[in-house]
Amino acid sequence: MTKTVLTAEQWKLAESPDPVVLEVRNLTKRFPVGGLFRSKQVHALTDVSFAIRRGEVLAVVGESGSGKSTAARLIARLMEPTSGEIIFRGQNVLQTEKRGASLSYRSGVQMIFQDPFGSMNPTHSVAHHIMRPLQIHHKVERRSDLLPRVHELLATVGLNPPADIANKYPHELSGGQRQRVAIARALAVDPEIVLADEPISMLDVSIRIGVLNLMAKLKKEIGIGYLYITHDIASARYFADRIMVLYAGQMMEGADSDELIGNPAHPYTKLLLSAVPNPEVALGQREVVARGEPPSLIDPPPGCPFAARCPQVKDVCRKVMPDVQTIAPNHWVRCHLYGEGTGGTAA
Amino acid sequence: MASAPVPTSLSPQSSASSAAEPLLDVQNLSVEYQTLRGPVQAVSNVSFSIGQGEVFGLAGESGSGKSTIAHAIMRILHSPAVITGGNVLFDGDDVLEMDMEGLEAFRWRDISMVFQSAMNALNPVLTVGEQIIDVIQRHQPKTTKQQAKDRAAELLDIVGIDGKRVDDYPHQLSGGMRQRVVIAVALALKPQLMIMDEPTTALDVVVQKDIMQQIEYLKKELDFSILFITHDLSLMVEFSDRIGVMYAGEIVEMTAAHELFNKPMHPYTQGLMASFPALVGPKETLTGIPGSPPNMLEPPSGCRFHPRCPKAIAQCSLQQPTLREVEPGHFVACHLY
Ligand SMILES: Nc1ncnc2c1ncn2[C@@H]1O[C@H](COP(=O)(O)OP(=O)(O)OP(=O)(O)O)[C@@H](O)[C@H]1O
Ligand SMILES: Nc1ncnc2c1ncn2[C@@H]1O[C@H](COP(=O)(O)OP(=O)(O)O)[C@@H](O)[C@H]1O
Ligand code: SF4
Ligand code: SF4
Ligand SMILES: [Mg+2]
Ligand SMILES: [Mg+2]
Repeated sequence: MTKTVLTAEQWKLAESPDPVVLEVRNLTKRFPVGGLFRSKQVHALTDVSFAIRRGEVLAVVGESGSGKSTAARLIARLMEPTSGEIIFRGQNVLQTEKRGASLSYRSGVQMIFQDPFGSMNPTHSVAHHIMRPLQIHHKVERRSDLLPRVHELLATVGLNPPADIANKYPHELSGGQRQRVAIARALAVDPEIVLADEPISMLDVSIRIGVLNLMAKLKKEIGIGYLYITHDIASARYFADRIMVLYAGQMMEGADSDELIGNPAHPYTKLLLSAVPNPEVALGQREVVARGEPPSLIDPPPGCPFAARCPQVKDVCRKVMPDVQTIAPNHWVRCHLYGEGTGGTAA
Repeated sequence: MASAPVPTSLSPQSSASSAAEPLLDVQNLSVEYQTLRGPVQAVSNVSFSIGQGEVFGLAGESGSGKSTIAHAIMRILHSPAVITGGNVLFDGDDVLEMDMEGLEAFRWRDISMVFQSAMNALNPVLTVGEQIIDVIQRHQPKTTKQQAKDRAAELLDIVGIDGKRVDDYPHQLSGGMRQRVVIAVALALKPQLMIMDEPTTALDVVVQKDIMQQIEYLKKELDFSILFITHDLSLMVEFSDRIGVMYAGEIVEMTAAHELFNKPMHPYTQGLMASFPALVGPKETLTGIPGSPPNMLEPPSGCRFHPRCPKAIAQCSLQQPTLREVEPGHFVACHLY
């Protein structure tokens, strides 16, 4: 049905010695909707492919509804993809673990959610929240090692003094502290990949950067790789090695963070960047290059999903979805303005 | 995209530091929530004014008291909130002294408000046109239904929605369009001041940009003032003439937007500035602010920021600093100045 639109090779950092830990190929999710026969489909995610190396951060940016959380939930195996492959430590896990994720996958790929409160049980102490995964995944030898390990993890995420924090309940913690507990809980099972879905967007602005700095420290010291999902492209630049832009469930552009922000190629990426508040440039002085709102994802028409808003739209855009074009080292884009102009994947 | 010289609209001349009588003058406002666990001093002794045509921004983290101030000005605070002191003068009249009749005329006609998460505030069983017509007819009973409907379509056009959609229900519109409808409602009676409490927080940057540009344009055309509330300091600096920064119920710094951006003086403002990664320029490791905002049931003694302040001195935990003009037009509440 679909053709590979992007190989992991096009994604890999040219000279990075680090091994690829997680790779997804043509990940696709459709949700049936509509009347009695559920005959219509929401195309939430279409043919998304990428790889994450050890200790590397890939940011996924895009507006609300672009499919970011869907991608994370599929990789966390909270739901099954319509098609596509997930390859973890070389294993095609949708094939080898058909009945759901194995214990080793679930400890290797952890998820942190946007709302740190929603992911905690108000009747259990912090210690309990971290002991559970330690026990389930057999991460300590003896019972007597449990509490010391909890304290060690709390100290790692900057929650001091750990013995005090361990005895608290979720409502006794601030949002930032709760998010740190969520990170400690994820760390408890020695993950290689952390899927972080807007981990700071619900925190007070003054404590957001502290949580990002913590995640950066764990990347450097433990070698954790992240899929960092965010609305905030400036925070992606701060934290991520590479950025991928999603629009209407499709990959539009990807590059090293500085390259993507410094030399955006796709008209949608340019629009996104032009809309970020910038105190040094007063409002109204900059042209907004496109207006309008994202398209409906229910049985979308063929062609480029950005065509309805794109200031540079051509006839071919409404018929053919553009293929991936590599335009610079580690920088690819899907847009008919680049390459031969007619190449593409007919939908 | 790259940094440009500071544009004229941010320069001091245009920052309407109202030499004339201010349109809105908030003096020593204090508000308390009388909760079961004790009184929460949500707003303490806050003073600021807004001139004709000026955009005044209130910045600060969640819980710092921004919405409480907005609700106090509109007189829509409900129990357990109690205004424990101060005055709110609009065009010289004290809003806090108005009776119900006075308030009825004052709200929407003189000051209107766009609420936080307003896009969910529309009535789902009325068309967007009916919601606008409702406001117009309630305040201008002589307007005929047809006149009000024409005006509603015109208002939708003004905020960038096709006037033909006047018969649409809210669920037929996207979040961004619903937010525009709410702004159209707020504009219906041509108010002199519009309070916007986090008007675009729930929206994507592209939609946010579009709406803010529209508001900027409308403000020039219709010449109203704005009290603009957000926790997004970048957006605030971009959009406001003057800014007050709130921390734990108090204004800790107040000055022109460009001055605040170029020369933040209060350690809290400096910390906030160091909390937002930049899109351009060198990549620096940011530090943010250590600790977290205080529990307002037991606010810290002295300067409320002292437990988190990297520059605190002995005096800070003992004595409360007052907001003083430390440079012309630049007010700071901090013992360092
Ligand atoms: N269970 C579901 N049934 C039907 N449609 C769904 C379902 N879950 C998600 N969708 C749709 O899939 C698309 C992508 O949703 P997703 O939650 O991945 O977006 P997102 O990029 O995470 O957005 P946000 O920034 O708002 O979190 C949206 O159009 C959404 O409405
Ligand atoms: N209904 C209420 N009852 C008790 N406390 C409240 C209520 N509403 C707000 N507060 C408290 O008042 C303070 C200021 O809140 P608010 O004005 O909503 O802040 P902001 O708009 O800046 O986020 C906070 O400490 C908040 O917890
Ligand atoms: S493919 Fe066409 S419509 Fe899509 S972004 Fe490129 S130019 Fe615009
Ligand atoms: S008064 Fe003291 S504690 Fe408060 S901001 Fe100034 S230096 Fe910091
Ligand atoms: Mg999401
Ligand atoms: Mg508020």
